[in-house]
Amino acid sequence: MSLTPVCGFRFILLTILIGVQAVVFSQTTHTISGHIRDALTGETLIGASITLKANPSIGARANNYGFYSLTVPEGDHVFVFSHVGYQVEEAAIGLTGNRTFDIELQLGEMLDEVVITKSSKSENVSSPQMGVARVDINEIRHVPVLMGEKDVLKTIQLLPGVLSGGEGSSHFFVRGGTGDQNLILLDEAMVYNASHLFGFFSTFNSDAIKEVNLYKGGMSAQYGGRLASVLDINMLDGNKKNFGAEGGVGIIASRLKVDGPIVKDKGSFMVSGRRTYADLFLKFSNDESINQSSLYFYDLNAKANYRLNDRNALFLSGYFGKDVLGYSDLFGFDWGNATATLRWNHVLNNQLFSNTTLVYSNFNYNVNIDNEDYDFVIASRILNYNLKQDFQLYATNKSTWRFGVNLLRQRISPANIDADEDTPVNSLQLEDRTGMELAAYISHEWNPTDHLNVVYGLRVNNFLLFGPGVFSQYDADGDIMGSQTYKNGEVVQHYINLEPRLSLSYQLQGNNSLKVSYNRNSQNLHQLSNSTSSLPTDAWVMSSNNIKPQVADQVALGYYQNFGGDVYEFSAETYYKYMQNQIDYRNAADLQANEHIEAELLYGMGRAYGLELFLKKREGKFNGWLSYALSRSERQFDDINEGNWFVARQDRTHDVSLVGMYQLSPRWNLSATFVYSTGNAVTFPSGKYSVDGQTLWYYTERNGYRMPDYHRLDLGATWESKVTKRFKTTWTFGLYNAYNRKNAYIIDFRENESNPNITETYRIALFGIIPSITWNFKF
Amino acid sequence: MKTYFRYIAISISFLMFSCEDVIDINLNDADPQLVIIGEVSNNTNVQQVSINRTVAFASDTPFDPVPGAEVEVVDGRGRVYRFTEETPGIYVANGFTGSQNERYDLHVRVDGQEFMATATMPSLTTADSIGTSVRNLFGEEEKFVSVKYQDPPGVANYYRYLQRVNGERFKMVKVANDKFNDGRYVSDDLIDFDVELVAGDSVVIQMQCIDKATFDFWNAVQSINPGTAAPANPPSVFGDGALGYFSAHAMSEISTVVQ
Repeated sequence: MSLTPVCGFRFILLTILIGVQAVVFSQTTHTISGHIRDALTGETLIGASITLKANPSIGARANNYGFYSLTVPEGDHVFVFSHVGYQVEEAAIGLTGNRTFDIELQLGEMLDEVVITKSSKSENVSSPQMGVARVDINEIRHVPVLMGEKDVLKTIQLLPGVLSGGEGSSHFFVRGGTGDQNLILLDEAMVYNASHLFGFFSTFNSDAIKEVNLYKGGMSAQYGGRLASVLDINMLDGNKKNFGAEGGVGIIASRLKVDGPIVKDKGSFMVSGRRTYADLFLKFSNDESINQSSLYFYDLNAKANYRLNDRNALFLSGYFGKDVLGYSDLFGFDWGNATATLRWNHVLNNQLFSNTTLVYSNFNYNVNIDNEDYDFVIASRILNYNLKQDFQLYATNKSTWRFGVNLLRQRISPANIDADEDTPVNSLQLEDRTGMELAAYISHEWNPTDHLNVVYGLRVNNFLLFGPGVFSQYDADGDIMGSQTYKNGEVVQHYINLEPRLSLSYQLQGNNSLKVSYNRNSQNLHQLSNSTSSLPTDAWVMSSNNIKPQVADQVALGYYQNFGGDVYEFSAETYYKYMQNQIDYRNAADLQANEHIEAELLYGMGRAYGLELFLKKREGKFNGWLSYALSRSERQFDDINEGNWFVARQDRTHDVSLVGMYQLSPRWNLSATFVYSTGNAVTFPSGKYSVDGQTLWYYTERNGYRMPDYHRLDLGATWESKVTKRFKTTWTFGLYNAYNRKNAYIIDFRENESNPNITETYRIALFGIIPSITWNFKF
Repeated sequence: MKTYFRYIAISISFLMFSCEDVIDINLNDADPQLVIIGEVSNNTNVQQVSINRTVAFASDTPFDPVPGAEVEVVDGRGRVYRFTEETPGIYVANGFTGSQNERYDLHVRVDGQEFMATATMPSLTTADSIGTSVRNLFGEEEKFVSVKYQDPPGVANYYRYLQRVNGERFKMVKVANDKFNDGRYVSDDLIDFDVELVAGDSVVIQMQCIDKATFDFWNAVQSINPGTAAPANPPSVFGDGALGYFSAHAMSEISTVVQ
């Protein structure tokens, strides 16, 4: 690419200047700005809206920090503040100059009584954003899940275009992409391994979560770094007014959250922890190898914030999670994420909001072998520092600019072996790899007419791979062609990607709209795994002299409609995605502790397309949704499947989710989910042969077979105690896989025990019917 | 190291209330593919090459012999050893003992098609001791045989182990390499989960020092497990036209009685 990074930044700077000029020459107006908060807890309300009562089409929405800014002509106005689930507030204000105005909204007592303004309810229709799924944390409480551990990552799998990673798994695939193509952000910090216990539980303790947004496409320019999706998770800030505690005791884990003010109405903290206790039961075993084993995970979310004044606020948040697995004295294995985020909100003026973020994120794993024969440790680590500067400029009530820069330094220490001298294993030290991503973006949201909403933007992503180290080049067969040594700080490889983004919505009549979007995303961090389940030990590599950045172009077209007085919401989206520089592996690739791991990689193309339908009833005693996706995801590699296109493993033709919740009485809430999907594409043998009396399989076509269709019904019920003034308890009952369907987790082949010449096929099903019970409290 | 991950896999499945049953499934019948397995050993004067075709998955015969092939091996000094068909698909050469560090070329002609492969016999590494090990897995004692040997430093070594229990046929246990223990005095655990050893069993271990190509073949076979995302045929030294390998290996045998 001929464009230099300097040139890219100059372009962005120029665009910003043009935008600022537009402000300067606009008519005489004044700006009202401030924060919208919950009256009871002081939590900022993300996405709450302010509109003019006289003209509801003029309005603004609070950003991720609850900050809003609306510019209107001079004069007397009645402003309407609203948020889903909250009572509407009105404020009559005469604007003679710029004005700062904070407001608190009361939570609606019962959902039925809540009056939600038109603009909040039809946001899904009018907003140009498509491919987005907002997960309501209150909804998650009622959706039944495995072992009663409510889970954000499992709930999003019930949305169209999001596929489950497998039975009971919190891994997910979006629109034909792989698991490592999802960007998972927790308070802006990247989370590398978002699951515990090999994927059965997500690392996100839903007690600590305020807001979850999943972008499947059409992501705005502020997001970058992954191909398939962005899962943006915001933690709760903590109650600014009163101390509170809530928690729960379930069959596998217990949770506790404590929050309260540091200084009333100024600052607050929140600490939330969770730990499993399966290992406590192991202790009761008489068997020494079991009662000396360990198996647990824990999570700790902590956050503190302090408002220095009307214009400045600081947020410090952290996440620590760890899995520990030990079997007798044979091995110990632990892995975990740690992230810390420091943010500074600064309101430069009523129209310009700034957020500066400093992120530290660490993922590591350790395998400890210490027994009579062996004594060694395998350790690996990914460490990153991320500095982000984001600006939001609320130029006019028709025009909002977002721009910023992002500097990400990433260091990967691949699996190293540190062995005791007397152990018959050699220590192995693989070189660390250091990379830097320097990104800048600008995005403009613009309403040229009342019917048309446009967001367009550009992201420039620079990736630099640095020395020190020896970097080899490999030929098409994976043999070394040559090696070069680089000094500390020397640039080994440099890639620039220009990522244009465009989303457009056109409101046809009051309640329906058409949307189109195009986005290009690039990715410079790649997870290498040739097993079906992603393991914490999977290697991560950055783009390099051999590995080019993955690039995806996606176009999408959608139709949105609300009906029944905004009680029902319907959407249909189609998309086509083309992916370059996709990664697969040579046959029997050695991906563990391999100095020449890049020699094991193959590069190819991918394409994914589909249709997603979504129908939701949002209110009433009975509510829930139906989602359906018809999709295809394919790959093409010259050295795989004779160069022919083949379907990706996670390709599932049909995927259906049905979620229903019913408020039986003020105390009882019933829920049910049903899921159905086509089985994964798999490679099965199409023949066999025998060597030295051992039967071997003969494979012909990659992913030429299908696992059996998957379906499952889960049931749940929640009972709430009478709400006394300060104390509330709930019991949650769940039944996972209610009709005990034996869904195939693994299908494999073996010689028949009595006659080895006969080959038999066997199936392993993981979870049968599993009841669960959880007791929750809140005061 | 793989063994340890295997323990992890076992512990996980133990915890997950899994259930297993035999099912019927329809698999395609691929066009039969040629399979050539050639071996030259230092331990015998009868060398063997077997030529078969793959069979349908549902077939109850393990192979489909290919008769009438022309087979010969040429060593590094140009000596030609012709193989004769002993039984259908089995070709043997008598009075031919392989030597360490010698290069061998295998030539096979089947139905007008020619296949060629080259192998060099590695130097012999022998195990100097053998013994019984016991491991306690979920309350069950599992016995297996371990061998110890000095791995030659500075060179890549590849090993293939076969086990004979109480005079039954030799059965492969595993292949190993010295990626993590080059030059060390190594103790290799030969765990065959399908064989339950009891005290008094007499066990013979055949330790083959194999070349990289043969290791790659068997390593590909043993690294396929139910969790493999994309199982594929092991790499063949004969190219696309035939599966299989040509192994010139130096081997030794060591025996023990299970304690």
